[in-house]
Amino acid sequence: MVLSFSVYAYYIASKKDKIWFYVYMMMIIVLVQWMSDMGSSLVFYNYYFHLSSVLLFPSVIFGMFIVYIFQGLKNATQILGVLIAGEIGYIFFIGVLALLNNKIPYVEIGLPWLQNHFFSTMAVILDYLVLVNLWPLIHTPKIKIPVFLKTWAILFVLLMTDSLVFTIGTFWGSPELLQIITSNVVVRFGLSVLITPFISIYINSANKNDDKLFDFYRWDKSVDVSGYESAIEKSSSEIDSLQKVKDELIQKNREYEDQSVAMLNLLEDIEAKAIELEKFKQAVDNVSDLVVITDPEGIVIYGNQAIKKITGYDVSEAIGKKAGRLWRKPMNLEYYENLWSTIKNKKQIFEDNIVNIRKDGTEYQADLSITPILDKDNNTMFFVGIERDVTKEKEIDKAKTEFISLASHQLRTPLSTIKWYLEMLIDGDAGKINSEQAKFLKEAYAGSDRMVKLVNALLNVSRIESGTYMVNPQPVDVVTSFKNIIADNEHIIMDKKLKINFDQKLKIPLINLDPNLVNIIFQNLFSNAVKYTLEKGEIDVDFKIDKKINSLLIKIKDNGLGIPLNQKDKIFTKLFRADNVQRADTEGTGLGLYLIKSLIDRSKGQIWFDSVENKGSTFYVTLPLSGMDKKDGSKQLSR
Amino acid sequence: MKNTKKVLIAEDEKPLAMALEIKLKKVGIDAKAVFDGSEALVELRSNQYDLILLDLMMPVLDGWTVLSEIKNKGLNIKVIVTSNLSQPEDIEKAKELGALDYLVKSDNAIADIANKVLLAIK
Repeated sequence: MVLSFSVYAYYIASKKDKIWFYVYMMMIIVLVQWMSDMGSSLVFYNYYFHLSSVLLFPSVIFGMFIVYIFQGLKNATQILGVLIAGEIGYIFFIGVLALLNNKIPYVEIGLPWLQNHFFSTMAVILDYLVLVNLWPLIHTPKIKIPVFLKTWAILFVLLMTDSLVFTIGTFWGSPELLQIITSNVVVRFGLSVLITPFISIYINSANKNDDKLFDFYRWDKSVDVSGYESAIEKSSSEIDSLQKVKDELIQKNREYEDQSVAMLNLLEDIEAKAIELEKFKQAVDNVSDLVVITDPEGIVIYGNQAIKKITGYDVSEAIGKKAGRLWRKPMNLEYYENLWSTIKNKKQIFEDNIVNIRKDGTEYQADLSITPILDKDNNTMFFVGIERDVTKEKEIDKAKTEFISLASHQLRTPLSTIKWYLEMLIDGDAGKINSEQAKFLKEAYAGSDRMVKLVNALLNVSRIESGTYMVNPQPVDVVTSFKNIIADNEHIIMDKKLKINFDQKLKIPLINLDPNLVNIIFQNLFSNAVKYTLEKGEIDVDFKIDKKINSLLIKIKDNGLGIPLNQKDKIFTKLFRADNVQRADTEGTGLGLYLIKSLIDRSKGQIWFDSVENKGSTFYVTLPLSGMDKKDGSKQLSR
Repeated sequence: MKNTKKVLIAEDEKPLAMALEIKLKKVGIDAKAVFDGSEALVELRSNQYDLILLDLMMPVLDGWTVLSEIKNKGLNIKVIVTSNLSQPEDIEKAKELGALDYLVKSDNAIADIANKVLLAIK
């Protein structure tokens, strides 16, 4: 029977049903006790039948039934329940038996049955206490005794305490007490040795399954299990919420780390920007032009080093003062009113050449620009004023113009003398000359004439380069203008027996051009064609409208000397004359194409050419139909 | 030679003044040369001239002053400016002050100048 219960307990243990495992364990213990009692009764009481032992078995089954009803109980408490219920059942059956026979067992051999069962119950409780308190020692690695020995020791202590309490309590005062104790000790020792291997099997099984089947709770702990559970539940919910907090903290931490990285990047950016700004400041501080920044009321808030150089005022003297007051006001009041109104009210850039007065009272000329810096709502945040001292430039410019004017005048006077006297000699005003003399004089005359043209061309070039020439556009009939140029060259055309093809059929509208500049352009283009075309050559002239670029397109084609391939890129260079025309000894200054290209470029037109040496050249010029922009200037170009 | 026309030449550059005088005389004009603006005004006050060939840049009094004087005093004399100043604004200014023509000396043959004088006083 012990064996069958053991096998069943093992089976239950393998299914991890703790409750029934404990129950079967207790069954085994109870059976062992019963067998020991039976044994001692048979040995020492001479066939005395231990009635209580017979009843023990059904009592335990009853206990099991009661426990089954209270399935809610768990672990050690449940086992105690089984035992106590078994004892109660035992008392109940004996009571019933006593009523039926009117006889109480044990009476004839010892204490009354109640005393007997009080100690029996105490023994069971003691069994339990021993079991739950000693059993965990099996798993304590500190006690280095093999599990087998531990198991036996616990079983032996358990069986002995049970037996001693029960036997001493029940048979106290009986003459056979010592005999009964001795027999019980012997029998229980033998049984404990006998069942230890079975119990060890369960322990190993439980260990293999890593199960806590044998990890009984101690008495005090078992009482608090439910508390622990709710505490565990509470703790687990607390752990959950703590976990959540932890997760949040990790997330926050990550965000902070990200933010910190972003902040570091931002700092780096700011540092880079600051370095950049510092560069700008250094640049503005040290540029040669005067730079002043004022608030919207014109109070200077920044000034660069050039202030000192240009005006003579220190930067510290300028800051905090009204910009206009600092420089005094040599221009008339109206001028300053217009300036202030342009930048303050119209919020436009003011640009002009202005006269200012230095700290030492001397005047200087400056190119001034004042720019209002607006915010997104179009409010003025500040004004930036830039002044470039152009006093010297103006003086140099004036001197240059005067020099050119004077030089050209002075050059012309002796040239006129040479020309006129040569002319009078040729005309015979000083008497008749022979044909050879006439030939020499004509060469001299042509040379002086060429020099006059060169002086005129240089004068024009200087005016174009200094930008002092004026452009005064008015409606011009370009076809007629060109025809006049042809007429001007009639003499040389006749001499060279050239054929001019200018049968303009397409009507060209009037275009707003400066007639003087148009004449210079046409004269140079046409005289070049005439000059570089050999006798009996042909010149084709054609005017078209190029609608794509909304321009007049002029085409002048000759079959003259042409331009050498390797010199095409230099043809518009100042004073350049191609090798072939120099060899041909035709007159020319090397300034004509340079001059007209400058004029055409400044009129938003274009000039280009196709040319093959010894076959001829075709020059193309475009001028916008919108005409030339008016330009004020002190000088006109001369033809 | 009652019908001989009288032309005054005001030109500080003597070779040029002489050349003009010779050329005008060749074409039958009674020409006289003076060498600055002041002399020219003196001459204009004392003698009647049909035309003056007037240089602009001259010592003592320049041609501009002479031109202004002629205009201001309403003198009955034709003026042709002969100058080596070639800027259009000068030409414009001279014509505004009453000059009949403006001839840049270096750009004009002396024969052409004589022809223009003849045309002007015909």
